[in-house]
Amino acid sequence: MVKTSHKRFMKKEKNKVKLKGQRLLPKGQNVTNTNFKVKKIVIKEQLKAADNSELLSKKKLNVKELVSRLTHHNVSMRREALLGLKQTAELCTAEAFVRYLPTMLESAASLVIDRDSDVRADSLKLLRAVLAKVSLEQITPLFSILSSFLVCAMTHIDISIREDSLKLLDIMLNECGPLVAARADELLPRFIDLISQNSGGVRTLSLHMGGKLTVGKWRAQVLYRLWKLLSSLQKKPNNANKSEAGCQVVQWNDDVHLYVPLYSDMKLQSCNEMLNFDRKTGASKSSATTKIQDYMEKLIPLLLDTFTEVAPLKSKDNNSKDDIDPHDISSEATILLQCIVDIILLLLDLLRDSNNASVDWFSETYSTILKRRLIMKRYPYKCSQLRLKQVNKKQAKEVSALLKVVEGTQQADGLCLLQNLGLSRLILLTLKNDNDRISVVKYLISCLRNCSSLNEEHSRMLKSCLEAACATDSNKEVRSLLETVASLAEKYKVPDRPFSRMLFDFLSDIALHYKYSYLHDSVAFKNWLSNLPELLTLPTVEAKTVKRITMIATRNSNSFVEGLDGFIESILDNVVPIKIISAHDELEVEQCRREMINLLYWVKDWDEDMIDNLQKAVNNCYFGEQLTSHLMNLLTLKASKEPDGQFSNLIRKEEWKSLLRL
Amino acid sequence: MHEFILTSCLEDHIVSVHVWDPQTGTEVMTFKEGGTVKSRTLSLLGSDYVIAAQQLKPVLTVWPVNSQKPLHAPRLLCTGHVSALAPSPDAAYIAVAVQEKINIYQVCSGFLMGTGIRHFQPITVIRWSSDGSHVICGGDDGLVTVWNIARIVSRDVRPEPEYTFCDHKLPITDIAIGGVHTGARLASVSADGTCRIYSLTSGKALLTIVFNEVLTSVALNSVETDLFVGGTSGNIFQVHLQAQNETSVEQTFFDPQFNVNSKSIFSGHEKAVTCLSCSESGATLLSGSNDETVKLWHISSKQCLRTIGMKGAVTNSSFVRASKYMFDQNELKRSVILRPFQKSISSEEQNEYCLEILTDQDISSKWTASEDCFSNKYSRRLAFDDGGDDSHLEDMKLEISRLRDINEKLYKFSVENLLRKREES
Repeated sequence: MVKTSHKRFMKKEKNKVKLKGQRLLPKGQNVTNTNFKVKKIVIKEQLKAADNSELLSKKKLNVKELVSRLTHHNVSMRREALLGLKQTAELCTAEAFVRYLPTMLESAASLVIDRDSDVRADSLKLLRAVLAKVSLEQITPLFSILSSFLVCAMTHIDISIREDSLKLLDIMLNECGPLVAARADELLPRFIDLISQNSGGVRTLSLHMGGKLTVGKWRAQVLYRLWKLLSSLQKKPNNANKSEAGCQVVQWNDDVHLYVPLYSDMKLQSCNEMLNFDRKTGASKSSATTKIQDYMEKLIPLLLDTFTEVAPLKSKDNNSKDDIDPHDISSEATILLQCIVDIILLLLDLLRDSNNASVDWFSETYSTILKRRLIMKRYPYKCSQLRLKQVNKKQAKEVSALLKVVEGTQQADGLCLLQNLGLSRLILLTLKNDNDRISVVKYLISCLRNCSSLNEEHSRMLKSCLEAACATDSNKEVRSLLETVASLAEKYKVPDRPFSRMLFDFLSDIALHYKYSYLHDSVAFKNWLSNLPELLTLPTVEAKTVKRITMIATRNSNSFVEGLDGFIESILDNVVPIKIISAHDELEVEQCRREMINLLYWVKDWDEDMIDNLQKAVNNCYFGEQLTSHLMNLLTLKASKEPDGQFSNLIRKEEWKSLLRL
Repeated sequence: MHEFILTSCLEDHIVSVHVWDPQTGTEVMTFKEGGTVKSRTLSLLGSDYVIAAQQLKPVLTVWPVNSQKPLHAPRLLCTGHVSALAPSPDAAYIAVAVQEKINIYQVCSGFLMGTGIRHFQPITVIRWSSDGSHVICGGDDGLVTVWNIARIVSRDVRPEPEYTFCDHKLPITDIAIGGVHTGARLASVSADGTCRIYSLTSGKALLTIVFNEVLTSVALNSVETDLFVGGTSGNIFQVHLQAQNETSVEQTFFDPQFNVNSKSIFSGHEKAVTCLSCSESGATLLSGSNDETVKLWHISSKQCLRTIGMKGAVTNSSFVRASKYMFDQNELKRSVILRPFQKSISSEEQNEYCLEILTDQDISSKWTASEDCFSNKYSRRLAFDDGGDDSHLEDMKLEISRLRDINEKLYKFSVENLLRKREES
């Protein structure tokens, strides 16, 4: 074995090619290079050190990463990312956050229409946090994204997404109301879609099936949001038209040259005003009147249908045993009625703002239908269900749930005050029929008599009703209304509560405005006027009240002057000790004291005693240096203006002449 | 044009109105027998008359500019004691305040054209905007009302003021309107110690200046760069309505060394400054005071150039623009027709009443000239029509023939269907 193997080996060896001749590699190449190169393996990203400059969530994820996770298919991943973003938004400063705003907002907003309700809720939380953080200017360019997702959600096929869309609207209205108002044109038609469907050109109320809420609650929610949106619309022009804003107030100083540039680029300014709207909100103005009219045409029938559905009017002929009072409605109906009346009034106000003549159009078109559906036989409403809420616990629970729907801003009361007051105003504005107006005025009178402790909202509503009642011709009822108001104001003299403040404001408006001058001969009103100066003899008074009273003094009303003649001495005594509250600054307080002294100018009935007292006060410098010199100036003016007046005859003494520089 | 000073004062029983030359300080003219003139009622009506309201009678006194004695013929009787008076710049209307009402009379007919009612207390001052389109009233009630004259005169409806400013808390003592441009400013001062500036075009409040004393007079220069406010202390305060470094054309023109360090108070009067007026050039300021003097001031240096003593407290003093020899012409060349004031115009008269107009231009030649012009144009247009459309003519001819055919058919039809049938029946 060994042999053969050896042989084979030898054979193998023989067969091998033998290198012929020793060819050596040239020098340099014949050396084996034992060096070897080493290349570093760089692992680019594995564990990143937390960079302090970047925004990080609690789980140390940066915004970019979180945003990318928002589109993750896993629900919990998305929720976690939303939570992370919310944390970052809450933790960091606004400036740092704004950098990521465009990318973040878009993907966050897209989750508003996510299928999972938890994700939607989280994304809403995130949006609330973000919108609260950044300023209105910063959100403006991105607002179109938000609003288009809102529209998307409102028109979504999934019913729960539609329900949640209202929450998004709430957030947007709270955080950036003016921007929403600018885009109201897009949003308003969507509201109609939410509660109705178009069937062959005629809109009918649609049912809300399969959602969490009942139809009634759903409609109440939608209408409440609609009302909020419309009221944000109404605020818009008020802010723009403030003429006071452009007026500077400058104090004269004897030692300084006063330079007040009034003429710097006037033309530019006016252009600016026009452009401002576009620039600030990114939306263009609409031709308001026709749009509102169109909208009303669509909406008002729906609103009335809604109400009829929830509170149908029982036909009278079936004399059933449980004698149903047509004035009585359910608690759900009260809330709906509230929304409906508010919306109609708001629309009417908007219409009036845009074009005064179109109010006639409104009352022509809708007065009869409104009267038939809302008012006839039923006004004033009440709600016994709410009144009895203490008795029935289960019902009470239901009611509170119902109130939650409209965020509970309205107080629950069995008298339906707000609703009735709203309706009263609507009647006064639209119905020209005397009988209707008289019934309204009667209601208002009873309302005034019964409710001395109205809250602010009620008072505001009541005041606008009173204004509407007094705006047109004076019939007997309006006068008796005014008598009631004035006698009540006499009773609740000091304007420190909402109700009495309202009375004071209303009556002083009547005294101040020329258009109400036909009402000035009312006895109780005169009485109120003559007692008005007494307010200035009290230990404390509001700055606003002082201003109002001194304004009324200029209006040359006899009864006021008579009252002033009686009170002037105690008012002057009170100038120094009186405490003036709710003034902006010290300057305004001083101004108020000065205005109280100004009242002296209007006094007609002078006597020796008063002149002597005045002289003492002047000599003692009772009012302080400035006010005393002001007083002297005032008296000088009075003496020179009425050279034959009672005052001038009394001060013909030498000492006065030297004092007054006559 | 030349500027003169019109003044009036209390306690002067002989002369009602003085006219002074501001350059020399000489008395140019005196107007007598008008009693004492009420404050804020003296002014020039056109270039023919001096008009003023008497203190005691509800009558306006009118002197021709070249006569010391007032006119007796057209008696300008008002409805009550006049508290303020101002003729429009073009002398077409006179605005007269009687208590709270402002009456607008047409000068050439004497008709009461309209009444504006808005004030609660007597009106103290009336001013016209420089173009005569608006009349502005200030009253004891602190209201400033701006009336469009066209609205008052048209008499269709109860006139409403264009704007009502109710910011003052005490009587308005004076109002000034600046400028000749459309965006004029209105400055009002009141006893409550504030001066407020409004824009007449937008009705916006622009500025409120609070002083420490009762204010009695105000003036604006014609370019509205400076505001002058007079108070009861006798001081006149100057407020610049421009930024500090901006110098206006007229400032650099009239005072190259505009002195920043000087005070901005004109002090010299001892009692309340009742009237202020700025010269057309903006260089001199005129002030009248209760201390029985009228003073002329150089505005930029705040020097008192001249003091004119009066017999009583000054009620009116103002610059008026007039031709140099206006007050000493022998024969008055009238351009304003005066008619006695009438109560009100009845509705029949409203439709057909005629106005007299004086003109010194040759109207007849103007008429013919304009007619020529008209006929020229007309003929040219005709020629143009003729040359222009031949095709049009063709069309019309076709149309005529078509109509003729239709007419013929209609005739035949009616004959056959109507007349024949009747015959048959």
